[in-house]
Amino acid sequence: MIIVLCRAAILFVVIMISMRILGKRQLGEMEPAEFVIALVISDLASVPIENIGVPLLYALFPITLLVSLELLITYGTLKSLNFRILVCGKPSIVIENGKINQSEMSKSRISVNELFEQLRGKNVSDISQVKYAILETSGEFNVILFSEHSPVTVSDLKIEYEDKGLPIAVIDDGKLIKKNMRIRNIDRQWLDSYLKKRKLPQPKEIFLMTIDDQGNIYISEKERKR
Amino acid sequence: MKLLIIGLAMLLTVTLLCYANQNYLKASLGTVIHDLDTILVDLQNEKWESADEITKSIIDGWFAKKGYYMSVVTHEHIHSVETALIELQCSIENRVQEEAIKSARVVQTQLENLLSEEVLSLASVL
Repeated sequence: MIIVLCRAAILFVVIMISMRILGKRQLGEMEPAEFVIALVISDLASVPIENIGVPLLYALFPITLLVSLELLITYGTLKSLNFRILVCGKPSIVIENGKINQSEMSKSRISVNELFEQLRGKNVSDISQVKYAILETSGEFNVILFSEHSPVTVSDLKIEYEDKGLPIAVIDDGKLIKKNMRIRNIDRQWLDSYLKKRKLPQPKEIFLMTIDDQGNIYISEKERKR
Repeated sequence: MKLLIIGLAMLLTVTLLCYANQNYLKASLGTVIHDLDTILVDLQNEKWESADEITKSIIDGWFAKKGYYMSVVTHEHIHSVETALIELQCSIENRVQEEAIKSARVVQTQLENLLSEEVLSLASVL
């Protein structure tokens, strides 16, 4: 039994390293080749865990090979458009200027029901409002509306708006994040005096404290245990 | 460029390791198969002492490299070869010619099968 645990631990580490090398994409964002490789890697890894009579190298070598091939394919897709089309395919424009492109729909094997489902998912109920609906190579469905139906933005309203920037956490679950404190130019002394002034508890009693570029502070205290 | 270098490095490492493993396996098992040929000749001529000596050296060599074999060959194969080798040794010690020849041939066939599965060929790939 201990052998199974050791093997599982080794393969877990190998798969984690492989996934880190392959990148940060989520399952739904994977290209076909990446999806196939993820499936095959999981299958390869399961065999030596289940059967201790199979050498670990039977999984480790093919996994390394697949990861290296995926890296080479990624390099190829970044360098050559034709290679990218060959490996990943082309995005399908299923609606163009408010008109359904039926041949693209049948090529992509999308039914009208599925098209409506995807549009509803993007809060669109009227096809005539859609300038483009694109089925990306990753399987994601993107909708671009005609400008008269697009949501209003700050620039459309021509009002002045000060960008607050990215709020970053300086306390996370009671722990000080010193790197972020340095970014926001604050020290422990300032933090303690700020919390004291606001009659807030010590940092270890704070669940989350963020500060944005403008110095706006958000604080959430830890919930008391019942 | 980083992707290309890492990808090629990994691909080359794996390919070279597999190639080196195949050659080492071919050489070490090839020697054992050759020794078994000598044992078969000795057994037919009833040279029991010589057959016994070679068998012992094969078994010692096998157990010395067992760790390596276990890491590259399915354990089922390893256990079958070991069992057949012990049977061969027992038959030689008991001076049963027919049984000893049969055991030597069994070991030889098992090793040849093992090699044919591990060495690159169209048949083994397909």
